[in-house]
Amino acid sequence: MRFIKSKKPEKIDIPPGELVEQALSPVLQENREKLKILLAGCSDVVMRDFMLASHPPAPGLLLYFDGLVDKEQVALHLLQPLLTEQDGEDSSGNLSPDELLKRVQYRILSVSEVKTLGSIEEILHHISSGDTVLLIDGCSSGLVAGTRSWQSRGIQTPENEITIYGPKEGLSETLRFNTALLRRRIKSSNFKIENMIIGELSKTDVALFYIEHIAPHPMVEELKKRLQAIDIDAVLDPRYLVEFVADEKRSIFTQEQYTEKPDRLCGYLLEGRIAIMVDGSPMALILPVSFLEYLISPEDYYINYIAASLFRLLRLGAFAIALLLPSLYVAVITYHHEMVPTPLLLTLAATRQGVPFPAFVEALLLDLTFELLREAGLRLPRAVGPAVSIVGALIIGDAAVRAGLVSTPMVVIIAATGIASFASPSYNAGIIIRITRFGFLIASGLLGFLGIMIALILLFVRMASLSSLGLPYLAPLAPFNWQQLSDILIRRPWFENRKRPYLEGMENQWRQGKSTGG
Amino acid sequence: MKKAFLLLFLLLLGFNPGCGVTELDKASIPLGLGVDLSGEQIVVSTELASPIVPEQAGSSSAPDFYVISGRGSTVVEAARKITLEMPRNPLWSHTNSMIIGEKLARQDMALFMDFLSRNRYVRKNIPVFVSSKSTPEEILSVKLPIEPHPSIAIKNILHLQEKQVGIYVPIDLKEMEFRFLSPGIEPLVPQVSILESNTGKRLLLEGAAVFRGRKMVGSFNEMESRGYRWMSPRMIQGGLFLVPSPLHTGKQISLELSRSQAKITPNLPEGNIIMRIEIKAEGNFYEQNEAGEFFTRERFREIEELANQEIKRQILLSINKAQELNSDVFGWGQMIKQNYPQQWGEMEGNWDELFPTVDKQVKVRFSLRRSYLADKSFKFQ
Repeated sequence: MRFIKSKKPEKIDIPPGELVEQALSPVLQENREKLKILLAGCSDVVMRDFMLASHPPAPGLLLYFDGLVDKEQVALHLLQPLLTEQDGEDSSGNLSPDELLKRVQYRILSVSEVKTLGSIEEILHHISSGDTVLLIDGCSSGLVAGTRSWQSRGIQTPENEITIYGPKEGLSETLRFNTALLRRRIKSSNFKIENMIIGELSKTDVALFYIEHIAPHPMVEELKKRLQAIDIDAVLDPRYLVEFVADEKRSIFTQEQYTEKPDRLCGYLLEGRIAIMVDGSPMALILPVSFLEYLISPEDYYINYIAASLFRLLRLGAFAIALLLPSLYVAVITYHHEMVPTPLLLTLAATRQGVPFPAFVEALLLDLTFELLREAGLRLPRAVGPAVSIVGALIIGDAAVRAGLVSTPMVVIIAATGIASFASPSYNAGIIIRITRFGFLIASGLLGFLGIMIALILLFVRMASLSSLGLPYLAPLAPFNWQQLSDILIRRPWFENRKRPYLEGMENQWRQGKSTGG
Repeated sequence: MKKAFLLLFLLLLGFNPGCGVTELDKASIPLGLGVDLSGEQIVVSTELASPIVPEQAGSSSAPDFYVISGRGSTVVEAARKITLEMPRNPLWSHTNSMIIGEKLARQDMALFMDFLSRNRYVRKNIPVFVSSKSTPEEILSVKLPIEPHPSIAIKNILHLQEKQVGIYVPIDLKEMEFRFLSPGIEPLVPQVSILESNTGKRLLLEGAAVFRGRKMVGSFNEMESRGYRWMSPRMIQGGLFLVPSPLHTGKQISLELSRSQAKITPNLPEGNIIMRIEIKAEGNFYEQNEAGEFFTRERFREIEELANQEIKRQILLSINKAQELNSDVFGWGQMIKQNYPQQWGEMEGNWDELFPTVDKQVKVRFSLRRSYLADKSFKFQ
C-alpha cells in the first residue's frame, strides 16, 4: 500500500490509498475509472467490456491478468454464457440488480468457484491471484470466478535430494500443487493446511501444515502467533520467515530442516512436526528439528533397516571427520608427535621437508582453497564445470605439492574432510560443520588437543543452549533419552518403531496399536 | 556469560604463544638410545632417523640414519653435547629401544637409573637391552639388510623370537625400574651383540644380563634363559624346543609350545625355604628328523614324559645359574613376601645369603595336542 501511495492520482482527486478501500459503486463506469487509475501501468491487465444478454441488456466488465488465467475457461464458461444466455421464462422484464447478480451467479456462469465481492481492494487481490472479476452495471457488488491457471515447472524429481529408492516426486513452486501432493499422502481430515497471507506487497500465500493431535497444539499456536507478527514487504522463500520465527535468531546453528520431497515432509508431519510452505518456493521448512536429526537421510526408511543403521553410523563418523580431521592432524603433527606410529611419523617428516608454512597455516590455506573451489563450482554453468575441477584437482592438488607449497598428507587430509562433509544428508548440517571446522582448526593450531577440547566444550555448550520451537537442539542426547537416541543412531525396524519421537505437548505418541489415528 | 566464556578462551589463546609447538620439519626423530661408559665419562648415543622421502624409498643413496654421541660426566651433560651437534629438536617419545652398555652395567647402574626414572620424554614401555661384547654406539650404527633401522630391528627380533622360538623374555624400562626398586627381585635383561659375517654386520640376541643390586653380575646362556622363561608368572605362548627321540638315539624331535603356565608357591617348613614349581604346558608335534611312527597313545605318553624332563632340565639349569650368581631374577623374594609377610620381614636383611640355599621342587606336566597336517609319520616306500 505504501507503494501505491507514492503514485499520484491522475483524474480523480481521491488518493489511490483511499480509492482502494472504497466500496464498489453501482455505476460501472465509475468503478471502471477507479480501476483504470489503480491499474495504470499494469500492461498485463485485461478489461473486457461486454453486454449482458438480459432484458434490457446491461453493460458488464470482465477483469483479469493475462497469463494467470485459463483463457479458454474464461471464454467458454464466462463470456459465452454471459453473451448468449437469455432471460428464462421466470424473469421476464426487470430484475433488480441483486436478483440479476444472483441469476448470473447461479444460473449462467458454469465455473466451479464463484463468489461475490464488494470492494476495490478485493478485486485487486483476486485478479492478481489469477481469478477473473465480473462487474455488472447497476450492481454494487461483483462476482469473482476461480480461473487460476498458469505455466509452472510441473512435478519433477528434486535435484538436490537424491535417493535411490522411494518416491521421486518433488514439491514445486505452486502451493496448490504441493498441498495436493501432501493431501494425497495423508488422507485424513486431521491433516490440516492452514493458510495465511504474509507480505504487505507480495500478499504471499503461506501454508502451515500439521496433523492435529500429533503436532503439539501449543507449538502450532506459538508458530502461528510468531508468523502473524511478521511485518515484511514480501516473502519469496520460507527462509524469509524462519529468521523471524527461530528461537535463537543470531546463530549459525540452523534450527530447521528443508526439504523438497513430499514423502520426507509427510514423514516429519507424522512425527508431529510442523511444515511451512510459501507460494512460489518449492522448499518446505520443517520445525522443530534437533541437530542430531540432520543425520537422518530420507532414504534410510526405504532400505533394509540394518543397512540403513550402518549407513547412519557411517554418516556419524563422516560428521566427526568433516568437523575434526584437519584440526586433529594439525594438533598431532605440531604438538602430539608421540601419537603417530613411528614409521608414519618418518614419512610425514619427510613430506614436510621444505614446506614453508607451519602445519596450521598450511591446513588453513588448503581448506580455504577447497571451500573456494566448492563455492565457485556450485554455480558454474555446466560447460565450465569440468574446467574448474581440472584446475582444482591438478593445479591445487598436484602442482602445489610439487612446488613445495603444501605437503601431500595435508592434501589427503583436506580431501578426506571434503568427501566426509558431502556425506551429510542435510545441507544445513554441512554448512554448520564447514564453518565450525575453521574454529576447530584455529583452536588446535594454538593449543593442540587442549584447544580442540575447549572448542568442543564450547560447541556443545552453545548447542545445548539452543532450541527449536522449544525442542532442545541436542534433543535426545541432552536431555538424554536412550530410547530416542538409539532411534537416531540406528534405524529401528518399523515393527519395533511403535512410538513417535516425543515432543512436549504431543497428544498421541503411538504409531502402532492403541489409537494410532490421532 | 557467553562473552565471559569467549573472553576466557581468547585470553587462554593469547597467553599461549605456541609453547610446545614443534613443527615436524624442525624436529628430528631418535629411534634408539644408548648409554655407556668410556673411561670416567658417560657416553650417550642416539640413532636419528633421516626422513624417508616416499619417492626415494628403497634407493640407498642417502643413509637412513645417523648416530650421534655425546660425552660428559652425567647423562644430562652428555645429552647436551648432542644438542650442540644437532640442528633439530629431538622427539624422544619415538625411541624404540634402549641399549645399556655392558661396561656401564657392570660398573654401576646408579649412573643412569635416576635420570631414567625422572625422564618424561622416553616412553617406559620400550624394551631394554644390554650390549654384549660391543658398545651401544656400535650396535646403533649397524646397517642391516631389509630393516633400515637397527633400534627397530632389535626390538622386532626380540618380540618375534618370543613368539616363535621362545628364549628370551622382553623387559621394558618400567619393569626394569620396578625390579631395581623392589627387594626380592632382580632384572634379567636380554643382551644384544654384533655378528660379523661375510655379508656385513648383523645384530644378534645372545644371552641375558643378570643384575644384582646396582650392577650386572653375569649372564644366562640360551638354555638358562629358556628355563627362566618357563617360570614366568604370566602365561607364555609360542616357542620351540627339542627333545631326544625315543625311537632313534641321537635323533631329535621338535615340539612347539602353544601355551604354558607356571605356578610357583613358596613353602617354609621349619626354617627351610622350598619353592614348589609346577608347570602346566600344552604343545604340538612339530617335526622329527627320522621316519619313526610316533602316533600311538603309548608313544605320545613317552614324548610327553621326555618333554617334561627337558623342561625340568632347563628350569634347573636356570635356577642353578641364578643361585650361583646369587641373583633372585625369578622374584622368589617377592613371592615369599606376598605369602609369608612376617617371615619375609626376618629374611629380607639376609636374603642374599638365603637365596642360594633355597630348595626347589619342579613338577612339569606337558601334554601333546596336535600334529598338524600329518597324522602318520612320513614313510618312504
